[in-house]
Order: sequence, then C-alpha cells, then structure tokens
Amino acid sequence: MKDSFNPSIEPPKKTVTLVSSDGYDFEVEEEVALESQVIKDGFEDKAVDDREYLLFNVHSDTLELIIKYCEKHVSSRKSISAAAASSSSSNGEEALKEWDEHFISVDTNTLYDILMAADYLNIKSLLDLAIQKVADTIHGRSPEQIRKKFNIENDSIIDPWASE
Amino acid sequence: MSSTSSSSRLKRDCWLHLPDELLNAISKHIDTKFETIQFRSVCQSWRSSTPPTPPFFSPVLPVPILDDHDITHTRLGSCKLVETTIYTLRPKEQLQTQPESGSSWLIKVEEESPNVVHLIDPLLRWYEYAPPEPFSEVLNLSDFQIYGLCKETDDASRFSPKRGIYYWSSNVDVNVRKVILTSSTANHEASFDDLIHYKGQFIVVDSTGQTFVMDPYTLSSTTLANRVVKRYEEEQMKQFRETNCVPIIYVDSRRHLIISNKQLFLVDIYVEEHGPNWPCDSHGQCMPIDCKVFVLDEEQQQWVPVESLGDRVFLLSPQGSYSISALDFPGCKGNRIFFTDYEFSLDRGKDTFSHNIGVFDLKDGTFEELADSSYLLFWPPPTWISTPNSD
Repeated sequence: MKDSFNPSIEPPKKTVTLVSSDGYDFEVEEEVALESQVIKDGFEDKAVDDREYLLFNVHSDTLELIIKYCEKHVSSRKSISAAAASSSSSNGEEALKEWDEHFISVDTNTLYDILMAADYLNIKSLLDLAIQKVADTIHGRSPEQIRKKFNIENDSIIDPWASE
Repeated sequence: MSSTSSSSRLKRDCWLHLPDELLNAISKHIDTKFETIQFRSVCQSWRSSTPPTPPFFSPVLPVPILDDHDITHTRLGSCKLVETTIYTLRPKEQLQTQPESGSSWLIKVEEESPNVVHLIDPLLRWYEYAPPEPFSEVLNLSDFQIYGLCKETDDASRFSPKRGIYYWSSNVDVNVRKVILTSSTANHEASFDDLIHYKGQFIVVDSTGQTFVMDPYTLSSTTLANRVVKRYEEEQMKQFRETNCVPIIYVDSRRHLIISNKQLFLVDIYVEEHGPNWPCDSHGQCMPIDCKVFVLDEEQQQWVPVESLGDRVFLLSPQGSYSISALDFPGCKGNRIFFTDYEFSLDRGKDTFSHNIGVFDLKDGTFEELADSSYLLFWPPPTWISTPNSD
C-alpha cells in the first residue's frame, strides 16, 4: 500500500511514566496505566506534560509484573470485543483465564507483592485474582502448614473453638 | 528479572500484618465452617480480622408431609432446613512424607444449632448408625488438613423416627427432594431430574438431559446444554417399530448433576421398569442396568460423553453428589461411581446391617454391591482419627 495521507490514522499513543519505589522509570501507554483506578481518578485534571506517577509502595520487580498484567488485559479486551463485533467465535476469555492462572502461579513473596500493589493501585481484577490465589493456597492446609507456607510465626496459643 | 531478587528481600512477617480488609476478602473465599476455624487459628491478626462463620440460616417452612407408608394421606407439617458439609480430613504430617498415597477420611457434618454438630456417615444418611467409639473423645481440628468438598441442605426432621420428608405437590405424583426457595409469586410448575448450585447459579436438568440455568428471582430459565441423545429409549423405540412387539422391559433413565474438579458432569442411570427386578422395594428403588457420564461443554452447549473418570470417584445421593480422589483413600479404586438411591442389596432379609450401596465400574461397565471391605474405607472412622498425636 502507498504511504499516503490518511486522516483516520491513529495519533501516536499517549504515554505516562510510572516511577517505582527504587527509582526506575517505566513508560507505559495511557490506557494501560488507566487500568489502575487510582491513576484513573483525577487523571483528566493532571496536565498532559505532567503525567508522571511516583509509586512509593511498588518495587520495580513488582511494577514490571503489574504492567505486564495490565498490558495483557487491555489487549485481550480489544481482541475479545473485536471478535464479538464480527460475531466470530473466540475463546479469548478462556485463554485470558489460563494466562491469569499462569501469571499468578508465583511464590508467596511475589504473591504478597502483587497483592499489595494491586490493592495500592486499585486494580480490581488483579486484586481478585491474587486474593483467590491466597485462598486456594490456604485450602486443605492445617493452621501449622499455613503458617509455614506464609512464613507466619504463631503468636499465641489459641483454642480455635473458644467463643468470642 | 525478579523472583530471585523479590524473594531475597526480607519478607518476614509480611503476611502476619496483612491489612484487615485484605484478610477479610481472603476469608470470604473460604466458605466452610471448619476451614474458617483453621484460617482463624493461624495467628491473632488473622483471627481478629475475620468473624466466625455465621450460623446457617435455618428457616422453618410449612410443607405438606407425606408419610413413608401412607402415600394417600398428607397433612401439613413443617420442615426445618439444616446445612451439612462434607470434608476430607487427613493427618497433617502426611503431606510431606507421602503426598500420593495419603489416607484420608471423609466426614459429613451437620450443624443442628450453633456448636451442636452431628457426624453422619458420608455415604448414607437414611440409616441411623451408632456413632463410632473414638468420638467419645475430643477431635482437635488443628491436627488435620481439612478440605471442604460440598455443602448440602436438608431437612432436620430426618432425625425423627419417620425418616425423611417428602414434599408433596397435590397434582404431581412425584417425590421432590431438592427445591429452590424463591421470592417469586409466579405460579411455576416444572419437573426436573436434578438440581445443583454451580458457579453461583442454580442449574436444573430435565428428563431429556436438557439443562437450564434457573433464575431464583423470576424462575425464568436459559438453556445451558441441549438434550442428550437417549441411547436406550431410542433403541427401544426402534425395536418396537421394527418388530411391532411391546417390549418386555421398559427402560427409564434418571439424571444426576455433579461437580468434579470445578467441572459440571451429568450421570445418566438407566433402570428397568417391569423387568425381573421390578418392582424393587417399597421405596420404589430399582436396580440400574447401565450408566453414562457426560461433561458439560459450555461453549457448545453440549453434554460430551466421558470415557473415564481417571482417579476420581463420584458419590451420588439424592441429597447431593460430590467427588473424591481415589488416591486419598488407599484401597479405593478410581473411575467408579457410588450410588445410594438404588436397589443393590438383594438379600434384604438378613439381620445384619445392609448398606445397599452400589458401585458402577466405568471401565467394565458393570454394577455391583459395594463390598463391606470398601465400605469400611469410609465408615467407621479409622483409629488414627482419635489418636492423631500418637508420636
């Protein structure tokens, strides 16, 4: 195709900068950053050239994962709605679910980081995913095994049946 | 990147100091009482963040009662709903040593009123059975790994001499054992073979295998799966047309819904009517002659035939059905289905306790009565249950 002028061509993607707690800059597309309700709130009030967010509570290791998650979800949503518009069948949602499951299969330290970051940035779908993973990890374990898994010290001897 | 540097950072106590609202959100995913007790026993902050499970909402409902042996006589009585939960229990030290060959125990627990629980034979519930000896002692739940399998709701009057209660619809000659309580006042009458709660929705299946999602507020239904091709019935009709002979044996099918590994299954059981084994007994229980298993393909809205259950064992009962892994129960073989609502015990006259549980082997396609040795895998409980800390 000829490289001619096309008025409907998309403008260059707008980006925002996310700064991790350990001082690394991450430049991400606006719609990816807007997956975070915290960033979304009051986004329009911020000047266009001042779209930089200092995320004091999110380490670069974790931020990298969070961005990966948000990018995947933004692009999957697009392809799912595109498939729906052309009424072609797609197993996009099923595939995304599988991707999520793989994404959240991490050690408990990383799971903790993701959980806290999703809470701090208010990314609901990721928070739900992390909470479900914690609950699944707890299922079928005795209190002692839960403590071991999550590195929790037993801080008291409790009679679990004692009434409040 | 990451997981190495992430885990190398000091993470001591982070889970201990999880914010209350997150702990609370996590605890909401744990919906059985015993597992909530386990969760709350982890540490002080986990305990204080999470309220104990509220007692089961236990309404007393006015229902017509049909006496066991007097089906022409109905009177109005009431039924009190209670909740029972089925758990697997295993000694906690087992996970590390032999994860594949652990011995577990199934328990069925019913909370009649707050903190009064009954332990019930997990396979049967229509028979009263003396509690096993070890239960004169206290069972310390924190010594076990506990996994909630399934919840059932049933009528508490089962403990009365008249076992069970049948809901009676004046113009429909059926015994109904599962009901959806609805706030709708619409006059809705429909007959279904089974009902199950799956992924937060009420699912019903009718006699053709057609499956619907039922909205409890409006009682409107949407199709979840199309009808199953009915092998027996259709073959019989074909035979009837070809030979113009009235068949000697009519085949009826009964359908059960069951969840296993988060998937929905349909078990079709075919029983003879007017055959040599019919009528069976006063409860109308019949001896099954074949069984087919299907798994739901939600996208295609189809029931897809299943050749093998692998290590899974399905347990079907009129109150609720659930599945276990045979690996958890040494001596128990997988790829089988246990039935409690059919006639298997041929020698009914004998004095000894007869459990009347049938087993269908999917590999061989055969039915047999559950051997006593297999029944003992489930009840009474093994000795380790009363002496978990024998070390």
